[in-house]
Amino acid sequence: MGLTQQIGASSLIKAGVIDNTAARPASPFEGQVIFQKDTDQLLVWNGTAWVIPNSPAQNPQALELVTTCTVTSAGGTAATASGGVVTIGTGNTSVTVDNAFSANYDNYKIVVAGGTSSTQDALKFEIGGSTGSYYGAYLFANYTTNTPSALGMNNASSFVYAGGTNIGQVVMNLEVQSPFLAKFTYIQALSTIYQNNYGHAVCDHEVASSYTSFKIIPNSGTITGGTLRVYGYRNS
Amino acid sequence: MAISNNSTGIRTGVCTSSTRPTAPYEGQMIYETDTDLTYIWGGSAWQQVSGGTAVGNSGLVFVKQQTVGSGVSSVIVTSAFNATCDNYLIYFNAVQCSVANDSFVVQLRTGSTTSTASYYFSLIYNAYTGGINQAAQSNGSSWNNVGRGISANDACSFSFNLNAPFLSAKTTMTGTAIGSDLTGANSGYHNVASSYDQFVVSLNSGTMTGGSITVYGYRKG
Repeated sequence: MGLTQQIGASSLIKAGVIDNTAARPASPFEGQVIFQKDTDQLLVWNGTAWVIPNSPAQNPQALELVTTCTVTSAGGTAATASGGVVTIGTGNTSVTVDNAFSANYDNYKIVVAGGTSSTQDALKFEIGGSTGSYYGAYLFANYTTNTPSALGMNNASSFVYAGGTNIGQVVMNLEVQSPFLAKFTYIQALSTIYQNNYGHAVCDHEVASSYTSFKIIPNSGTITGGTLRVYGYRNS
Repeated sequence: MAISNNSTGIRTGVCTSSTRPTAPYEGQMIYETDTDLTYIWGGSAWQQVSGGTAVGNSGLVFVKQQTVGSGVSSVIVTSAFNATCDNYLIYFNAVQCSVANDSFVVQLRTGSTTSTASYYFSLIYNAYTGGINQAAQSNGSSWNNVGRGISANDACSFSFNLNAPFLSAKTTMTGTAIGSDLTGANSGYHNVASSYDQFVVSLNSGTMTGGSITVYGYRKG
């Protein structure tokens, strides 16, 4: 038996109005329609997922914040971590981030922004406490001399040019490939700026081990404040 | 009068394309389980509800991943580019080369045709001995050194970016080469204003084994 009585426009059929993603029905039926208030979206259950009605197939979001990170630091007051956001402490000589890499992702982006530094220098990167087998180069130009230059890393003790503490600011933007796989880890620094040097640095860590953590270390002086976030690139 | 149930919803108008209501009322909404489409009766015809945009998945999105075989000389990555995205980020993870310091070579492709000309690039590199060097190519058959292998028994990883491969415009490339002999940054373009939906990766001399290739796209909206 169906419900056939027409209901006037001034009346209300309120079916499946929910606050947010967490409140979606746990056992939906195919064709069920809900309205999600936080995104203002009408959604329909297609048998496997909630989708916008008649929308084209959606590719999944690629970058996800890694929320499992924990942190320890050396020097000054301690760095903190909450919900995947690491806040650098005051006067830190190093910041170690644990639980950053896992089987969930092969590739990662690490971004440090804001904060201040006591000196203008390179910002070094170590993976899993390993202090050897870093190979690569920093390709750059110094705007005061207007000449291209390169600094090589041949079995260095860290990825020396992973970032910079320049004009009192802490800047690091890394692409990290395969740290959790038991293979060599490859790291790109998209922008390394310090002491009037502007360039791009790349490095591989030639140890075929799996790592879950990393450390950032100012080459000299200390760093204060600013945030560090780790993002994972989805594998599927 | 209000009928309300937030936890289970109300099941109305779930049918198939062959079992639509025979006497619909204006404004009636149905959902077809065989087509996954939603319609509203407009008084004389079923009108498809306008499709939404994928606002929930804007920015960088996952496109596809495929594994590399064993001892293969090349890999064709199909359905890599489409109109959804103009720009792409491509990751190679843990690919083992049979020849040390081999150069990864990339070509654009559409249908069954691989473009084999008009590739230009410049590689700026350091050879661990100090100083800066350059290797350039004009009108080559491919982009060389988009990535670079390492020693023959170790797996390598690299990534590169392609701008506008699906547009009928010249495609540009940036990549990073790290080998046991050099480290460098590569950039170039393809001097053909055509649309491509695939790419081919091969090696300059040897074969590759294992690992994966993952394609991400930057959504336009």
